[in-house]
Parts: sequence; structure tokens; C-alpha cells
Amino acid sequence: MTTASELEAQAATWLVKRDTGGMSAAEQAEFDAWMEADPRAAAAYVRLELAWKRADGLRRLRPLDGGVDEDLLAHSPFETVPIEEYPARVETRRTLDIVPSSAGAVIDAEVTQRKPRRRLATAVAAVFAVVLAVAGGFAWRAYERTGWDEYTTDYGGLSRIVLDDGSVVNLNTNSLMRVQLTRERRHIVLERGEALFKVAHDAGRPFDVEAGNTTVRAVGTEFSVRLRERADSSRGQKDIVVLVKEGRVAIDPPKITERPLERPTTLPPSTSTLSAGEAVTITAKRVNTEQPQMQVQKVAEVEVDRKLSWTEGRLWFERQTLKDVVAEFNRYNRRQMVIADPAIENLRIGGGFEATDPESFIAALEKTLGVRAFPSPSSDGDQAEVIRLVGTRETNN
Amino acid sequence: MSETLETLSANAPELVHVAQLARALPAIARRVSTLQRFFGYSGKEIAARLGIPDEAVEELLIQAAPGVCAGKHHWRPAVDEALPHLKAQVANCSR
Repeated sequence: MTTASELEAQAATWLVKRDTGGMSAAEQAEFDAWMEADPRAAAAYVRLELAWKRADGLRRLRPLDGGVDEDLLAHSPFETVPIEEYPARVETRRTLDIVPSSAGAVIDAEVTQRKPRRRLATAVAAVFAVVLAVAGGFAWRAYERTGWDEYTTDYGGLSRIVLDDGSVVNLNTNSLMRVQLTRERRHIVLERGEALFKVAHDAGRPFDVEAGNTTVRAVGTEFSVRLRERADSSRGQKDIVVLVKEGRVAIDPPKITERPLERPTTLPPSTSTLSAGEAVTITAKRVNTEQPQMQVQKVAEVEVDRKLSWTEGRLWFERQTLKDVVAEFNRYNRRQMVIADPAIENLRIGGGFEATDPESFIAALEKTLGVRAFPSPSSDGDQAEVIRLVGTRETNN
Repeated sequence: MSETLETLSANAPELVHVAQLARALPAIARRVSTLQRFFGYSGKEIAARLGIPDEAVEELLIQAAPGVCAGKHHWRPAVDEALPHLKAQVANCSR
């Protein structure tokens, strides 16, 4: 059964869709069906809509000169009233405290008048204030060190995250990302998987994505970063693949000293830039005794879209080997496919498929290329079952 | 005529509460909803003004709506009055 908070989230989504006028006929029908399916949903929607429309009363605060102030509500001088106390405060609204702008001056004057009698209290307060300030400083430093938000997705998972600066991150399957936003820097660490970043413009606060000791820096652009396990090396070694869809990014690859980018406002001389329609694969080294290899490629716009089709849950292939296609599907599904017949590894595959629907892909393989699929127990014992793919006489001919 | 915060608090005290809830939103969500609701900006205009991706606008409005309406129990009597049949349906459903 859907929980109340889930219903409210769904109601908010419908409210905004209807409010911004972007509903198609099909979406309208979907909305009507949603409202009729569960009276609790309808109630959640009606309440939300009513509250949202009543909140429009705050329009009366708009400046008369026609100016636009997006921070209109940020500098409201209303005191903060705990929500649970609000009904009682409304009852006695005539006494609702509005802190006057001169309140600070009034308090100062009072303190000055009483100074002779309050000397000890003032001294104690001063010491207390210093202690608080020092403690606050430590607390802030601790936050600076630990103020990370963590986002993960499971196999086949896809998540869209709006960060507090307005940037949007699409997190692909089986990924782990940590985010720390400070006044000086937007710092993202991609620990695992792949993400597409649409970066909010903020020239004074660089947006750094760190992956495998490589840092990618952007200001107002769109790019993806993927940590890709290497098929030809021991477990744990990963390449970093960066693809730029819009704008430019600066790449700071791992150094021999393995020092990540630390200064937020300047770029080291080793940095390379990458423009829209370019991709780079950085071959990471476990032991950094030599500079990493960077292979820059030009990528056509249509190819960029194809490579990023995972953001819509789809995979597109164009004459790729079965081996590569199977590896790609396996990123999205716990039930892994294994090519049990070397003769079919290099069969060429093209077309679009749902990333989390390997069955449809297998059905297409069987129908068009004569490949057969057999479920069987996993050899390493950590998975319940794998799908073994083998060729037939028809395939091998 | 534009109101001041003081007159608004006297004339429409529930809006004081809404303003407080809005202040508790993340700054970016508050700015997006202010531009859309109070100044009539379109999604594209908001994105351009704030330098954020287009698709962030809708997501931030979706975040803001329940936040601004968190004290919606204050509106409940009005809703129940307007839609008594809905109230009965909800009551039946929760049994």
C-alpha cells in the first residue's frame, strides 16, 4: 500500500506538472486515473493544491516598482515560530511578535545603561561567547571535513538528483557518489559507476568531479564521468571516461605524486581541456610511476546522445561486438550473461534495448542470430544463476 | 497596493506561517518557487535567470510544494468543507 508521504510526493509531481501547463492528453488521462484510483491520493492532491494556491497570497509582498526579487522571502523579518506552536500563535495573532529592524539597537542601549551593575555578568557572557565561537569554529571545521551527502544506486537503478546549487546529476546503475558543497567549491567524488552532470552556473564556485584520482572541473556545462573496470587487467584497476555534451571541462589527471587537485580557484599547468563533442579515456595506474595515458576522441552529436541514452533507461548499440554488448548489459542486471562459446564473441550487434530487460535482448539474439541461451548455476557460487549464451550451427555458419 | 510584512501579518496571519515555511526551504528551491509563483516566470526564464539546468526547475518546484504546504493542516477545514464527499471516502479508506 502506498504510504501517505509517497502519495504526497506523487501529488506534488502532478501539481507542478498541471501548474506549469506541460500536460499532454495522455498525461491528463493518467492524472485522472491516479485521482480516481485512491481517494487518499485525491485528498492529498486537493489539499496540496489549495495550500499552494493560498500561498500565492504572498504575491502581495512584491515590490511596487515592478522589480523582481527572487529572495523576496529570504529577508522576511518574521521571527521563526515552531510549526507545532503556530495554531496557538494564530489565535493570539495580535501579539504575534515581529522583530523590529531596530531591535539590536534597543538591546544595546539597555545593556549600556545597566553596565555598572552587570560587569561580572558581561565578563562571564564574553568568556562564554569566546568558548562558543571556538566551539563553533571546530564544529564548522568538522562539518567541512564530514559534510558529505552520499547517493547510491543498485543494479539497474537510475536516479536523478537536484543538488542544493541547482545542478542536476543523473546517477547510472550500481553507482556511488559523494557530494560536498561549500562556499568555495562544489566537490563531487564518484566512487563507483557513472554519472551525468548538468552543472548550474557559478563562476565563483568550481564544480569538481573526482574519479580515480582524476579531477574534472566545470563551470556551467554538461558532461558524464564513468569509472570503467578494465577487462584486460587485474580486478580493481579502472579507466576514467569523460564525455562532454555542452561547454568545456578541465581535466586534471592523476600525477606521479598522486596529489589530487586541492586549490579550488586555480588549475595546475598539467590540466587539459575538453570541449563539447569530445571524450577522453584516462588509463589509470595503480602504481603511478608514469603519466597516465589520455586518449581524446571526437564524438558526433548523435553519438553523444546514443552514449547517454542510459539516462532514459535504454542502451543503444551500433555494430558493437556481442562481447561488449553483454558486458554493458551486465552492468545493469544482477542476473549476468556469460558467453560460453568463443565463436559468437565477435558477432556484431545493433539497435536499442531496455537496459533492465535482458530477456528481450536474448529473444532478439535467438531470433536473428540463432544464439541459444541456457540458465545455469554460477561457477563462482556468489550468484544464483547466470545465462550462458552459445552459438548454433546456424550462427557459426 | 503592495503590502508590508506587518500589514500582511495582521490581515492574513496564515501567510506568515507560509513565509516561514518557505524560508526553511533550500535557497535554490525557494528562489525557483518565488520566481514561478509570484513573478510568473516560465521554467526556461527561471533556468536562464538562475543559471541552472532547465530540468532542475520542475524538480525544485516539486520539492518546494510540500515544503511550503507542510502546515497544510491549517487549510484542512477549508478543504473538508469544500469536499465533504472526499472526506468520507478517505475515512472509509483508512478503516
